[in-house]
Amino acid sequence: MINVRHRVQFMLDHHWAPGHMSEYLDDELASPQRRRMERHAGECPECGAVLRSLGRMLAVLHQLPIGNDAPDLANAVRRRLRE
Amino acid sequence: MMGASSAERELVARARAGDEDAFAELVDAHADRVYGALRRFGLDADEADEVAQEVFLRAWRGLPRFEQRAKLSTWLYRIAFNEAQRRLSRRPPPPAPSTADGDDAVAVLPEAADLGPEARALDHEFELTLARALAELPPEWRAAVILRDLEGLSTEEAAGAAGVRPAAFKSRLHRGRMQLRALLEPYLGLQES
Repeated sequence: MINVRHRVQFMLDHHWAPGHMSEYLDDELASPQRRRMERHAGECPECGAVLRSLGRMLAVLHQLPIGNDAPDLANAVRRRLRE
Repeated sequence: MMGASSAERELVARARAGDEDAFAELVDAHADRVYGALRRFGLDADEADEVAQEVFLRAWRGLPRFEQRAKLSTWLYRIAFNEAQRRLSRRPPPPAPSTADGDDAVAVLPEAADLGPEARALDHEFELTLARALAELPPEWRAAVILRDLEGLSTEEAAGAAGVRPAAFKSRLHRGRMQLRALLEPYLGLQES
């Protein structure tokens, strides 16, 4: 009985987890949902791997510099304001 | 303007009163971010230059309607996003991938091994690979990833810049991230060995 209940819960979590991984990594899940994600990622190799690789990708993206050396926009905009 | 410095608030107030010098200072302060975002939205250098000028001209004209409770940078991102969408929508559709054997888009991205051991994150090669991967995403998903993960806006700010409610934005963001993860996986070696 416990096994059946656990398997049903596993499948429910397995259906739920992929759609909430971003919120988990952004720390936007409430505590019960965070625990649900962590429990499932710990017992499901497939979801655990996706969650970890998503986290690694975000860590790389978040390190990239913001902005890009722009041409002299201020003067160009000023000229166009006077046209 | 929540989060804006008092110096920026002062410049905005002067610009709203018609002071072009104050507005030029605001342009200087935000030019790199706006231009960088436009490049990441998929515009080439010339397009980004032209569209960035248009963004700031629209901002100048729109200053009287600018809601002071929003951050100026978020408002500029919103204008930039709309202008980029407008420009991209005028482009002819890209040719179909020439992968005759039916490989998916991942196959067109370079593998890390092709670029040498130094070609990892934080370098120019990775930026090019990332740009190609971002170009594979639907525009709304791409914009969500750029605003949140590359430009560093909060979810609320990024949703405001994209012009959607946070719940809708989160959905776009998650879909975009998952597709980007699949595209970058061979390059970044995201899979566990």
